[in-house]
Amino acid sequence: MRLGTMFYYTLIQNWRDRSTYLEMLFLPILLIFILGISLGNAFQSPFISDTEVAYFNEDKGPIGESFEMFMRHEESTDLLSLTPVISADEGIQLVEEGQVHAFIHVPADLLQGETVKLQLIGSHQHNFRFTIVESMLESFVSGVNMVLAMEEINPDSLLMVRENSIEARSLQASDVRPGAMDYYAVTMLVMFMMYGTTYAVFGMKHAYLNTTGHRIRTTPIRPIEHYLGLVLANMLTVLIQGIILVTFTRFVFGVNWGNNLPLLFLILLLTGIMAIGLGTAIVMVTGNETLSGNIVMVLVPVMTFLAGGFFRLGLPDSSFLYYLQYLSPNYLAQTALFNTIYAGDFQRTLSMMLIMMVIILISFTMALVSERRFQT
Amino acid sequence: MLLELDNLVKRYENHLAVDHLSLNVREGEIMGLLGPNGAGKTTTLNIITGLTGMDHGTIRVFGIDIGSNGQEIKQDIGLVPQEIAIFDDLTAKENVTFFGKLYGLRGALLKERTREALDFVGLGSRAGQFPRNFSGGMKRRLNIACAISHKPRLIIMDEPTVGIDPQSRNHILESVRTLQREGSTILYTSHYMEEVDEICTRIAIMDQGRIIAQGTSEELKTMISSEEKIEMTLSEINYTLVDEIKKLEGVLECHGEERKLTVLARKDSGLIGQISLIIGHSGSEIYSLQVDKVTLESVFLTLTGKSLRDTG
Repeated sequence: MRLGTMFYYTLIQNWRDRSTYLEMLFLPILLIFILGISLGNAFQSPFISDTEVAYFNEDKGPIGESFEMFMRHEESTDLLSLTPVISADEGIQLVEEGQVHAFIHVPADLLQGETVKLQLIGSHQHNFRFTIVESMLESFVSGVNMVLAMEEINPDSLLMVRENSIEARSLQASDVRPGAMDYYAVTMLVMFMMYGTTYAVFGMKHAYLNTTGHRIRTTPIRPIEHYLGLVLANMLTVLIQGIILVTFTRFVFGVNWGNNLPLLFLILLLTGIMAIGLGTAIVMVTGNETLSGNIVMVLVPVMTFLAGGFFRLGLPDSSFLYYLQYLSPNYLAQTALFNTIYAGDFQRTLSMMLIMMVIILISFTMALVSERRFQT
Repeated sequence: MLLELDNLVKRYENHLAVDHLSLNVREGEIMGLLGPNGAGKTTTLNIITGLTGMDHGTIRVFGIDIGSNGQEIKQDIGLVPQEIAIFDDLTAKENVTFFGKLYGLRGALLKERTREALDFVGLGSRAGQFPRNFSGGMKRRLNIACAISHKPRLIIMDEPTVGIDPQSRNHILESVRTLQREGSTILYTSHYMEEVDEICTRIAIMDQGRIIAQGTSEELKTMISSEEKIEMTLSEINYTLVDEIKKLEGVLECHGEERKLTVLARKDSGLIGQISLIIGHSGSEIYSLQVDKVTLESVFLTLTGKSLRDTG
């Protein structure tokens, strides 16, 4: 009950801090608008449409036919430049020589045995393009699987379903190519949610470490209720800001936030908790509001830069900075969001979320350990 | 006894902040705790309220050991901290309601007590206003309201009148008396001797972590009734003059501030003549002379060797 009291009154104080709240909403909206408009050209270049793909289709049956239809579809050719080859070896060689970004092999009699599988071969140097081809192929496979399943249930509807399902599930070119507005909506959303660390810094300092916090501790509230009430209220404040930003940019700027809203919400929630966790850890370690505020003011832009939040860094896979990105909470959140919105690698989304959870765990542990210094 | 402190010890590395302190506070009294900065007053209050741990000793509040029943005891204690500890982004009413809820008040009782507490400190008409627009005195009064809405049996007030206007100060002192009349027991610290003298039923003088004397104001004054305080206004004061006076037989303490010379001497020691002579030799002139009766200030000066105002 006392936790609820702590939570509620912290939340209304955050809400009444209008200048901070509006700053945290207006600034990202303004930045998304400015960056989205001014850097629009940089994002209009055929960034992924010139993805070179070689393919070798050995299947002469309905699967092979569907594959050709799918790959030759207008939406697919917007993204891919297709080159048919006459053997698997030729396709692999093209990948090895760097002439194509990926090679797809559709073996003969794909439906005849479990050991016969659709093959996709790509280069690690072109991770992003490979992911696009992989996503398209997954869409194709899903469509085929659906047709086969429908055939089992009602063979008469096969033709109709085949047409509808395969075409309907083709990947939309506009979905996989984020415009400047789409890109900066994600990076600025993450950056400003990370600025939510300031709620933790100033909130924890005032209502936990300072005189008012001491006074609260002389009441019958338990320390865990006091601590959690503050953390949860600050976290919700940041999350609400995130949701308002997503809603506003979706309906006013037409930003694409994808269709997987529950997963999007979950990532925003994790980002909010991570921001509050980091802020709490910083203020508990330093014990100094001003110093903590300064650290946040430096740390957040650096983390955003490392994550390519201001402009894409295009770092080589094996470089030091590339690995350093994984230490940036912004990079983790951004990658998880981009993968969710643009139907990317779900495993990668999960691994990003997992690392975010580890950061949350570490930061709150640090905060709790450091907080003991103040228990004289 | 409502509050029993027995042999409390608190050490910070090499500094002994509280040194085997024992103090009893009876139900219904206003106990004044006097001491210079660093005497250990705030540390003692922090130990009582559970903010600071102790190295040794026992505390019993309402007859219950604080070590084993901290949460239960906190329900009946109200703390008015020295610094103003309220939220600027909550209205006066919300501040009192917030603390009332933390103390376990709910529903109609919470509303009634909140209103009562605000009326009590004279802020009833400003319940809906934010404290950031309040004067220092009004903030101090709200600071008190937040500690009393749950009608605690023990109220701990740490310098509640620091830095406020005389009107608010009088209001607070009257409030303290009223709280006592209504049955609360109050532990009160202040640097203002006259207000402690005026409202406290008993006084404990603290120095270097220990209680060096305690009793009613009159009892404390009787302790040093064999002394008198001579105050003089001179044309000028120098260190040589003060040192010369200190050497006189019967002088206990002498200090000068600007043109005011204060001498604490044994009663009837007939020193005024000798002091006047020394002043004359130093080339200074006496503008005024006053022999004061014993005050709490002189008690404090005698017992601690320090002036409370100087240390405060």
